[in-house]
Amino acid sequence: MSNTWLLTKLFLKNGTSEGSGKKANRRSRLTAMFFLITIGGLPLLYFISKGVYTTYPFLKAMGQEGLLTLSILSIMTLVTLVFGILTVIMYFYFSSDVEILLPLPILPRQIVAAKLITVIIMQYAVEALILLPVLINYGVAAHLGSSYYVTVLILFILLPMVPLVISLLVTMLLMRFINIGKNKERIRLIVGIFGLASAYLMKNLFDYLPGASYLSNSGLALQSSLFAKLSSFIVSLRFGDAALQEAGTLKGWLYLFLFVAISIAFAVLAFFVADRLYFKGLLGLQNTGATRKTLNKNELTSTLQQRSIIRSYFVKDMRILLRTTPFLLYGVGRSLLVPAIAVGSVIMNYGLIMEGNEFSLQDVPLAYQSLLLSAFVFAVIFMGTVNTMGTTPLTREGKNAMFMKYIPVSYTKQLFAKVLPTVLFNSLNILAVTIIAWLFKMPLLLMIEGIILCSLVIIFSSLTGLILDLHSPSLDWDNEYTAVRPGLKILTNLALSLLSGSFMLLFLKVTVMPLTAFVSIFIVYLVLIVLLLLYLKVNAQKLMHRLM
Amino acid sequence: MITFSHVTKSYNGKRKAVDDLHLTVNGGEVFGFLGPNGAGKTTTIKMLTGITDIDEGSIEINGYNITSDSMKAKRSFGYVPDSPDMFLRLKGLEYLNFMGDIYKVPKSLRQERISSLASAFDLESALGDHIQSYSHGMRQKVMVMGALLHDPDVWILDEPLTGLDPKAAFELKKMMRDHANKGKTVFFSTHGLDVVEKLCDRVAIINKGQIVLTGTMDEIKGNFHQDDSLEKLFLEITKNE
Ligand SMILES: Nc1ncnc2c1ncn2[C@@H]1O[C@H](COP(=O)(O)OP(=O)(O)OP(=O)(O)O)[C@@H](O)[C@H]1O
Ligand SMILES: [Mg+2]
Repeated sequence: MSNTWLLTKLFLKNGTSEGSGKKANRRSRLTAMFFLITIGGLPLLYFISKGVYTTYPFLKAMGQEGLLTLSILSIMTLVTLVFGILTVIMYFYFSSDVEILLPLPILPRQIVAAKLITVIIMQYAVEALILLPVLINYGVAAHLGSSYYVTVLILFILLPMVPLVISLLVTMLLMRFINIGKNKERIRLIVGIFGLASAYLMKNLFDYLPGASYLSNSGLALQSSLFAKLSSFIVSLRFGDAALQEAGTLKGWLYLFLFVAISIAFAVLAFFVADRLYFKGLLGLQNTGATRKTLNKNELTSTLQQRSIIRSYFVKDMRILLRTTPFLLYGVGRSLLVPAIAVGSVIMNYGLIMEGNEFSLQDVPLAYQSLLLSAFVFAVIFMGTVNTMGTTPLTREGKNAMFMKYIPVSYTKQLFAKVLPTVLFNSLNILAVTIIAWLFKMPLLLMIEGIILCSLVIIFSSLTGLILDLHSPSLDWDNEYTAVRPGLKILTNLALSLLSGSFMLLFLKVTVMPLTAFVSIFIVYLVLIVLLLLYLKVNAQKLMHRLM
Repeated sequence: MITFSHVTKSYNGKRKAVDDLHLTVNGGEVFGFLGPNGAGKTTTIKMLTGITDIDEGSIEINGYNITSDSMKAKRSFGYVPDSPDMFLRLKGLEYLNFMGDIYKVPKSLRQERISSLASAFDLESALGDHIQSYSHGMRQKVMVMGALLHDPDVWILDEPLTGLDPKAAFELKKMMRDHANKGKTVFFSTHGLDVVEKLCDRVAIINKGQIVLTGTMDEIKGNFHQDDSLEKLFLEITKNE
């Protein structure tokens, strides 16, 4: 057991150290980031509290207040499940520390236990941002006692366990039995398919989760469905929710006990399987395919193409992004998965929503149009900032960053080229939100305004991401996974984007013509972007010189 | 031509990695830069190429100051870094094509140079594969090819011969010699004393950041007993008191 704790401490230390530079410098930077995250998080907290407070009495009147807790628990679990697979592949299989640990006398289950604990702890950040505010506000709104909060605490601690273990089991099986060791290209393919498949799975699960069945009254379908079996996997969820609802009573404690017992049982299962599968899947991941075939004239001329510097730079960055598995999973994978899930789940539930209440955004009264516009923009902000692509353009270069300094291309130009992939992938989020808005018949003019604003938002957040990375890049990684590990920078960037968007909140209360809102927000973002560009132009040289 | 004027650099403000380095490398010269591990060779070259800042002094390449006229200075040299583990995810040919774009080498010229360099280095069959799959020496070769693709006036090579097989080393040495014979400049660091003896017109020996000796091979040997080997000389000069 002591081995496990030792490893956990090691992994946590590795996982949280970010950026380089002097200690004092780092501390002040961390303080600044913390400050920003707190401020940027306020609008989010405001939205959540407001949301809980307004929906609670409404649901209470219908006797369905349990829907609130159940849906937040389900959403957290599903998010953990889907992204868990990516996290697990990266963290358990492509992490550099694993290679160092292999020759040491440590049991597979010890490594797996330590990694599991680390990943769960990393999950707390997301939970603290979303799960806790909802549950606590719920508790306040419903005037619940201390045993409710004890239950919340235990749920908070253990909730990621079951979905992460499921991801881990699936991954271990996948890595063991598909012969991927020989060829990295194939891993990428499999992971890509897998990502899409899990998106599909998620949407289906979502339909059959207890939370959704309240909505759709499809409780009967649940029984007969193939997915009933799948959803019973996450049976801990129902116990967890029941524990919340019955908090304080003997039944409540019993449910809580069941929830804890199931979580522990899953952990034990993971260790048992790990001892048999984990090391076998690990071996031979490092090989690359090589043909050693002399290229003929045609192949030579087709590869040799003259491009402009910016284009060539962009092509190079895209190639590296797509060919490096960790970058692919964390950057590209998430960039594709998030809009795919968003659109997918809306389309799947479309009939349901439309049938239920003739829901349409067509004739939204003028007073609410700016609210709609803000929702559109905030959706893109959130979707765009869950992947580490935007905050790692320099970090991803690693030791190659040296290259940027000896070639005869100005830093401004190089940095500009480096922003392009982020902008490109984040544009997918605009596409997704636009499709959803179109499905709900959002007025055309409003939609065009939203698209224009979101384009600016994306440029803004790509630039802030770049600047953040420029200020504290971690170039000293020896494993690509380390480079794209989500960290503080991503939260800081989210905070900055939210902060920039918080301007829009002004228009929610004041009833203004949406055109006025649009023009004001447009100008604000334009000014911000120009300021960022100026900042880059003035400081690129200085910042780049600090790198080495 | 390269001119170092009283160049000084320290990494953390304490010990000087390079101390008041004053040196001119003329066109038409193959110039060898010698010194024990940690003497300051790589640091000097990184300042020369604009990778690290210069604390004091200045450096000019073909008359262009690397700090104030950096674009022109950077266009006039080709640089091979001391570690060739770069751009591992690109294929050899993709990397070379990228370098061609960066230095604006016309397509036909690009193709011609790549073909001739690849055959000199026996690398034709590997260019279609990812650099990740290359051995150390093969990576070194691709880096050299990338640096020479735009036919720069000044070659700056940090231990270019490390890891090369005898044939490739021979070819590279021949290229260096030919380049200097055309009146251009070759500046390289190395630990191979026999290479220096046979190839270089002039050498500088650096120790603990300071140049302890500069001159042609003959001048250097003239200062000491005629028949001493360069090895003995080197050990003598860089001996720690
Ligand atoms: N990034 C760095 N940070 C701090 N000190 C450094 C750094 N790089 C080099 N040094 C120090 O500067 C001095 C000179 O190092 P340099 O790399 O220039 O030596 P070198 O002559 O190239 O050695 P070698 O023959 O081993 O390549 C050494 O004392 C080294 O420890
Ligand atoms: Mg060196």
